[in-house]
Amino acid sequence: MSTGFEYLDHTADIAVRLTAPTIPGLFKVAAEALKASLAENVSFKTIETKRINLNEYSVEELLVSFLNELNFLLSVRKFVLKSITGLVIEEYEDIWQLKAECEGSYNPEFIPKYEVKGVTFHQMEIKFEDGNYITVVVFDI
Amino acid sequence: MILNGIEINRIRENLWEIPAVSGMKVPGRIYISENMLRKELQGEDALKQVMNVAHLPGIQKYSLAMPDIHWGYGFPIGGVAATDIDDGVISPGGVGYDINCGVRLAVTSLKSADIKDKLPKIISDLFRNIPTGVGASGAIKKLRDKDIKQILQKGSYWGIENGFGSEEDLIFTEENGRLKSADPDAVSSRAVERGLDQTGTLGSGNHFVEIDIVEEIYDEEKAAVFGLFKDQAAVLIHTGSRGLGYQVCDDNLKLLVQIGRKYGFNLPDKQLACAPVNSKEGELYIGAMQAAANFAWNNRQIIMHLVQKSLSNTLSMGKNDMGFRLLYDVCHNIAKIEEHIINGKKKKVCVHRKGATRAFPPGSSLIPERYKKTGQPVLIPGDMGRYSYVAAGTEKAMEETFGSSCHGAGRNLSRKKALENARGRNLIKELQGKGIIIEAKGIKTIAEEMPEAYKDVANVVDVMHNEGITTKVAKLRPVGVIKG
Repeated sequence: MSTGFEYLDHTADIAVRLTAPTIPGLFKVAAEALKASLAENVSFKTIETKRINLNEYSVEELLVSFLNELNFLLSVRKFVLKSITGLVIEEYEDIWQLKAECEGSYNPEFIPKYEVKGVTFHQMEIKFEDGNYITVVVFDI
Repeated sequence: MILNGIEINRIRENLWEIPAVSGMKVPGRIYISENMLRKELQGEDALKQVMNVAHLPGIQKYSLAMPDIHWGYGFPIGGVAATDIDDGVISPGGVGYDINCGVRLAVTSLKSADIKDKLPKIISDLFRNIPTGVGASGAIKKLRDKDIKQILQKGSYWGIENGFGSEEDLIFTEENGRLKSADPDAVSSRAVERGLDQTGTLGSGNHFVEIDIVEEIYDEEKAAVFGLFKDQAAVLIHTGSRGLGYQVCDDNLKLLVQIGRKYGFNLPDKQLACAPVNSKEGELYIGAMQAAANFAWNNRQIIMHLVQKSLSNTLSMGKNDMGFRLLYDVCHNIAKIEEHIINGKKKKVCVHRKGATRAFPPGSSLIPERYKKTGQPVLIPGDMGRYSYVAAGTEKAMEETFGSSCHGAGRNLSRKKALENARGRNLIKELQGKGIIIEAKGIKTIAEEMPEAYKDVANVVDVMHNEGITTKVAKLRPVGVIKG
């Protein structure tokens, strides 16, 4: 099974299947899928770093929060993501924690390809199959 | 019959029931023709979602779906569910991200011949005057946070107080354009930031402003009361609460997914996250959702005013000279506390309408005096190449669907498939060939929103008409469209 993301046919919105050998890898693939859905042909003049810290009760909720955070940064604050570095995901006493550094640049002229209203919990279940973590994420547009 | 592994039994010609099984508190009921059921719901998750909704604590009578049912999140689009306000729940999944997405129809005294020659300029002027597309902003002077807070509290009243329309517009807006229990303090600063410069903007996707011509009248009496006549020019506006509403949904969904653990709800889909209506969390969501609904009504109010000003400039006619007036404004993504008859007794319930339109009957105290004898106007937009409908609410809707009807056509093709179908075609010319002028931010939007990407709304409207839930009043044909 190849890692990365693939678009699934969805009547109204954007659905992507994510595959990666690790949980942090899955989150990075998810970020790539969101970025690919919203931004294209972006050039980066100066690179800034934006830190994200999130705590949730499950890994699925953490993934939705993470993607919603990126969507907010991109769509509202116009922080165009280049890459995710220093991504750490830990579970401690039933709380899932995420720390990440987002590299990118603020571009007030940036217009996303789509308006992602929200990242849904629909069909959201992270499974481990054949050596990879797999899930489906639907972006409501 | 068994469809997608689900037992579904015919109750009437266009009404089907899914028996309550495994955790469903009530049966599911779907208003749909056999042909649509077999053709459109084969292999779709929407029926399963009707069953999932039936698991909600406190759900009354049935988990309902209108004929424009299709796959949504938590609820199907076209889903209606009423929950007990004492021991039932409220779910953001039953409202959707675009809180109070809705439609408003303004009519004029003009006929098609009065606008025909100027139509290209009418559309290009509208496109210039109404910000459209992803991230659209700047329709009116820049607002401050405190202005937004006022909009969240006052809804359409804010628009009227600030010169964007007349007081009469409030009479012809569902809830008079303002839900009174709105709580601006329940709306996060992030939601305010997301909606700050979006007041008076159309947005993207299926949102539009359309110039229509009344093509057919089905009910002369009701049409006359609505102020509709054949060959009349009208304006249809479809948009919602924009980024502010999306964020209110995001914020509360996240909270209610967590809270579900506290209440011990065991629901088949996380997107059905909910809280008791009368809980602290439920009230917080209701306050924020109502505030977002108010934002949406004010948005449509301002857009309509911008449309009227634009038309006045293009046609060199004043508002009264054009006979420009709001026929009605309805929302189709909302949850509201309403009184309905349950098992022979009046009861207050929380009616979730996710892609469904309120359709109150003649005599309802909640509709304008003018429409007391006809029933509430129900506005059902189709696609940009065919037609839209005006219908009227009935007593049967109150008896069977908690006063609800359908809301539109529903997509038939994915965006990807629509783009594939559009390859090598000139859709602008195709639409021109049908007498429709379109302006949009990009050719991709036109391709994704092409008429064949949508189901035929006539089939949807006919199901509701034939089942007596709404009565067809008029059909509108688009002649000019602006989209994001």
